[in-house]
Amino acid sequence: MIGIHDLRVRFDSDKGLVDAVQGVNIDVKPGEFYTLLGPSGCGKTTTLRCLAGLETPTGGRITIGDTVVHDTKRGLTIPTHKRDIGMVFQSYAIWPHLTVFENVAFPLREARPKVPEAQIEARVGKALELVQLGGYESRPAPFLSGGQQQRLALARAIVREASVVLFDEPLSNLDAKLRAETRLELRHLVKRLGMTALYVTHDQTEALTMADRVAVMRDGRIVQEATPTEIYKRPNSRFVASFIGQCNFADGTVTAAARGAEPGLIDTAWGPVRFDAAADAATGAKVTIAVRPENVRLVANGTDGAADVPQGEVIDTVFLGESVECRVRLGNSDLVARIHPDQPVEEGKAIGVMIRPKDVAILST
Amino acid sequence: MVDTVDIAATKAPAPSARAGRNILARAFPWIVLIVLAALVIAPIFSLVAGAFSLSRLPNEFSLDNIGFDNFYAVWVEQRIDKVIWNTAIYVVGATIFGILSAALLAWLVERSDMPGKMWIYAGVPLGIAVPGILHAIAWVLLLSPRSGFVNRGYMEITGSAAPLFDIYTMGGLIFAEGLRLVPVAFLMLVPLMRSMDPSLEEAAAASGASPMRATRRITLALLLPGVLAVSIFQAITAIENFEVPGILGMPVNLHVFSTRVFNLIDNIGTIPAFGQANAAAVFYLIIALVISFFYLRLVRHSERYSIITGKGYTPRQVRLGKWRKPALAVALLFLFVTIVLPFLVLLYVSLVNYLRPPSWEAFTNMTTKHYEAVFNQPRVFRTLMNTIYVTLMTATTVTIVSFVIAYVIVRTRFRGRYALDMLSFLPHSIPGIVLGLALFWLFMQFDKLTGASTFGSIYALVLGFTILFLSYAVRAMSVAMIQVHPDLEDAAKLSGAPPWRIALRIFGPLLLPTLVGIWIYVAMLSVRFISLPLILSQGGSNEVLGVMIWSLWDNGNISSVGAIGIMLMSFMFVLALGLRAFGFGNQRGGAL
Repeated sequence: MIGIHDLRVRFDSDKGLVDAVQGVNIDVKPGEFYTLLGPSGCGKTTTLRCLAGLETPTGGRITIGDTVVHDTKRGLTIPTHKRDIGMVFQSYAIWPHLTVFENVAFPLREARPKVPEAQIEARVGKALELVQLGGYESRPAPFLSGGQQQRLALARAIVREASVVLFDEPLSNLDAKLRAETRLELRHLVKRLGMTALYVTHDQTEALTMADRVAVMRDGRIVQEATPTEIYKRPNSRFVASFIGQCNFADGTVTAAARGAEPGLIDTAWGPVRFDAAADAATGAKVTIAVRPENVRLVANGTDGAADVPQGEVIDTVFLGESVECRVRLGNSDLVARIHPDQPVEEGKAIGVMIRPKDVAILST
Repeated sequence: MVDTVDIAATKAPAPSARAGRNILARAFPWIVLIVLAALVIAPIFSLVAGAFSLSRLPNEFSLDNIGFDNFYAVWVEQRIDKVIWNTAIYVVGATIFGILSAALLAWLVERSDMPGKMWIYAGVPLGIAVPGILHAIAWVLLLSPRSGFVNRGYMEITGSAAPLFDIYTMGGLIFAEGLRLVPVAFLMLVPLMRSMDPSLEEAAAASGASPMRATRRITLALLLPGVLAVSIFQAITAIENFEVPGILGMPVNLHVFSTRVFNLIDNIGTIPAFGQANAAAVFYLIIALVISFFYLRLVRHSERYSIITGKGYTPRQVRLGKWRKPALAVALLFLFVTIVLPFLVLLYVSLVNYLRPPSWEAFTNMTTKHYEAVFNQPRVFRTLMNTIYVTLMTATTVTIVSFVIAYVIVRTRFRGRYALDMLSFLPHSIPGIVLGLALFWLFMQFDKLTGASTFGSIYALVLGFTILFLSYAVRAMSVAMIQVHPDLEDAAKLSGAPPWRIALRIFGPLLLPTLVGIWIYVAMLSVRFISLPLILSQGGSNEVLGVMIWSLWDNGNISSVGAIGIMLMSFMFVLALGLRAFGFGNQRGGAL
């Protein structure tokens, strides 16, 4: 539904030439919820704005549905207002001089051929119902709360029934609780209406909970693109691993490659660590491994199968409410384990550290 | 999606048409920059060229007859150094007096519990509606040493032979100009006082500072850069002013720069010294530019484009106690002296049958004959029409041009936008007299080359005013545009609205108060500004009301000055009230 091919954007800014986007390729299927995730300045918003036609790429081709909306080679750009899209802005961009109704009706009033007034009323009413703003029609837009303005912006984006909806960090101005509620509501709404969504965010939780597919961007490039589960479990770089959630890292040398069900072995500062065949590494290769804190299990001596488990020492514990974070000295290095608050650990005590082979991700860089 | 390319190609406009439009879009900001540069630099260039010209008349300018003689004459024979010294005293004095008065009023309105604050807040800016020339004339009528009403009354009551106060002095000049600076300084200082976060003072108190020390180390220290910026801004206004020194200083040969330059080309009994006037004007311009440069340096990062956030803290108010009523009395006295008194004085002289101090007899013999006389003159009607025409043209042109320039500065990534920003600020530091002189030379050369008659036409005035008032309008427009978030336009684009519909339905309505505000303010400026038209005025074809008042005053026709002045002021008050109605200068924060 959305095709972005070798997109390049170069800005002529105060600091000289900046390559904001350097060859991005994206293919979003119809009905898919696709998320661009990355730190500020990684080029994700620029990519989105190119798709919307608010920014002119210096290279590449963009298609929406069956229409080429931009092709640098052919010098072709369709202006924003002729593209089949809706968009929710980070600032909401609610027009302060119009009422709630008129804000939502705006895209319909601009539509050619003209939409009959009765139909406008019906469609605006429906859109407002969908975002639970029914009954607010005549209210001046600035008199809405932050959450209501956000939903109004959403109603305006969907009222045109465009095939693609773009989201530019739409939840970043909401407070934490409202954000958590809105995340799922928003995904359900998009899915229910069968729209294709491109969602830009720097918040990993949003990316993981809402998206069908996530692309992590850095310095104008996509560094990894996968489903949320895949990207969390098998990050391909230190950057992705640490950007999405917390991670323990260790450098090491592969001493034995994994063969079928037989796990491989890596020599690290933590001591030897086993990994399974999902992670591909040849014997003798220098690699970095990543292990999530919640996948590091601490087992007290004498409990089940703790016999051949490497021994570490608890250095520090931090109580977080739903879990406890333990810093453990293992071999020549430290690692962090996240455990259930009920599990008894004591600082300065020895403890067994267990890492399952399938929880070890081998990073390419 | 490769197979869909053909469909897309038929939908999109032909590449050549696109490219054409693209080139136009790219070239547009450059055209704006070049036109603005021409508008600002061409007059200055002709001014400087004229300063080197040794020919007797501007239209005899030739490259064979140039030299430094004019600069020598101005510096050595005309003793321009004395004028510099006078100007310095006048500007510093007027600025200090004006800023102190404005700061006191702003403080009373913003930070004290003075009663009737809203009236003072609404009243002070109305002073803008009193044209400088009428303000100065009113003070002459009150305080001229022999015939001023106040001085006459004082001498009669006390039997003294000396007047109470002579307005034709440096002190009088400073007093009258200082008062004139107050309204704008007040409007600039009020937001400064308002934006002082009281928690900063409270933090000082919590750190153990006594109230006195908290005020000095925190409040004053924080206000200082802002107040300094406002002071320099007002000093530029004072140095530029011609009306007040022209009425109060020139008759007694007390010259500041603006009057000296004017005097060199318009001195009864002597031949106009055009080249020397230009040389003096070059000195004048350099001084004004240097001060403006310091101003820009000072505000570069702060005040120039600061957005009034309208954050909702209510500053702690200082309790005045028994000083509440005296404070109000002082504020009301100020309003009376700057707004009511000039109006009453002019009303009086326009109604008495001949000029004499107020007395019972004078009041019983009031007449409207001066108004009738004024209206029976065809010259007055023509001048009135000229004024209206110039005002409408200037206000509309400035509003449109400043909109375009501000749009390029604020909303595009145009490479030359900083140059555009600087160029649009430059005219603020060109004194009206200097620009008048510069355009005079420019039009002379232009007419000589083309045989046209631009000089003496009404468009000469419109062009001059447009250049002069552009800097103010661009600044106001930029600030307003910055406050309209670009997303509001982008959202309209995404809703399928083409650019002209966005301008009509989103940008236009959101900027409307600013557009109207700028229009009215520029209209007021063009009605009350006389230095530039005084030089460019050539007989009846482009005489405006201000110029007519000047020449009537020069001829001693005081009753007519009163009658026309009253009409002019009434018109200005209407405009000023219109300005208030649009909430201009009334610092709203928030949504827009």
